[in-house]
Amino acid sequence: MDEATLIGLAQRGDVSAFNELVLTHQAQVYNVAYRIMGDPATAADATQEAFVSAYTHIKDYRGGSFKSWLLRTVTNACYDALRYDKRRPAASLEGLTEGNGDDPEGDFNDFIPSRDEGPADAAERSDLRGFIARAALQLPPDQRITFVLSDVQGMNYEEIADAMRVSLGTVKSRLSRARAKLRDALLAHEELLPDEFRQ
Amino acid sequence: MNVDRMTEDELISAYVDGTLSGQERAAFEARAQANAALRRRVAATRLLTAEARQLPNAAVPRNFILPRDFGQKQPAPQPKRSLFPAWVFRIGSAAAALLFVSALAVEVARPAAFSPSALPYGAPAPAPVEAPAPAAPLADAARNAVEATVTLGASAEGATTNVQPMIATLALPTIDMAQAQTKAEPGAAVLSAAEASGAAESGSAPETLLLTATPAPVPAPAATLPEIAAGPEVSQRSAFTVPVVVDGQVAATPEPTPVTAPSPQAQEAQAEPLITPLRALAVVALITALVLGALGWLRK
Repeated sequence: MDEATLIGLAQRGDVSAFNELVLTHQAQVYNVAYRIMGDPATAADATQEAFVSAYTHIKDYRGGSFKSWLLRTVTNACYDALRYDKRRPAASLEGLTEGNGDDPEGDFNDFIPSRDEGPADAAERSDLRGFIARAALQLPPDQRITFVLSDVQGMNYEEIADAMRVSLGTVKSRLSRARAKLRDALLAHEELLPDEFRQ
Repeated sequence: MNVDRMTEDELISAYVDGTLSGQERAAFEARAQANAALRRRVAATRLLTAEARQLPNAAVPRNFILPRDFGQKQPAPQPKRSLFPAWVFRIGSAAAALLFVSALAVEVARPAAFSPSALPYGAPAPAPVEAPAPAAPLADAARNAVEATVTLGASAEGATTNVQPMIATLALPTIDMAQAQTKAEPGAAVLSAAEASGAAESGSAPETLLLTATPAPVPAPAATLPEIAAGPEVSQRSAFTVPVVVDGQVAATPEPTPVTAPSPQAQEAQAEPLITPLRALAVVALITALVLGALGWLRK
């Protein structure tokens, strides 16, 4: 059954059809939530809330990219969670290289190295990606979500603007600021960068 | 894209994303060739976006499917709608209040509605209270009763103290007839002498005089009541045991009799009870308005 048929059935109250849509999109929805929230449990809660909200409001869906519609729902759930989340104090991007025991990006240590890089290179890449993931969590929510949707999830500007219900210019502006902050944080930690960046 | 209004960071981001036009891209690359720091920032941004895209997907901890009965949950029971919503009570309260005001207006508009003579003195009299005297003397007294009529005149003194004779009559254990007649000269009180003397000839001199509230007023002689019509009257209808003394002797035990002979206006006023249908309607309307208003307020 194609996605449009499943959406139509779900709009008529077919939970089974909606659950097929859930199984199709839950990995991406959860990973967006995970990259925004930085915590598996909180990300799972936001994901579940997003699907419940999606089913409740699926009659409001008027076509277009269903994935963008779902991602909008999950980003809204993450916004709500971040708004009331007091557990995560603000931290500067400068202190991100020093890991701690409850590192939310611990799974990044399990990166599989590419064929053309040796173990040392793979370890360096793992450290770099872990740093980027942690640094992204220190961005303001708007910039963080834009960065996750664009550079982590690979969505184009239009999809992001649709998901976040903002203009293209806002997407570009938020993304450029997010990238600039993360870039400057990377340049401040040359030990994480490849040799050509070391002065 | 208006490159002139873009910040350097926006230009770098757009260049990395490949969204600059050919001319914009050439101009930016020319700047970067001459600026090592800019080249370094561009390279760092490329590295950032490339590595971010390579961030592995986290494993989904569980399925997020909804339970099959998710959409079939019974809605929360709606509160039972009342047969009479709040606005019914409010309208009813307003209507009752309007009825009350209307009844009150009609009552006030009536000329004799609140005159003093229409007030409690016009109320139906209670049953006569027999004195706790022996039965025989009471029977004799009834046969030889003197209908004592005390008339309150309409003179200035009488008008202002029309209640006082009654009070005096009720309060004093005995009434000296000669004294009463003396007082009657200025129109204060007149005792029917003929009936009083008749009672005296009967020989039975009861110790008490029974005065009861007889509704029918005894017409007083015109010669002795020249000014009645002009003054307010008070009729005492309650039963009292009052010995009447005439010339030093107990004159008679008169039939229950009104203390005061009312004027025609007083008779009319006395005929009207305290609780008229209109007043009852006003009271009921007022109570209804208050009750319905309270119910309407509680239901909002």
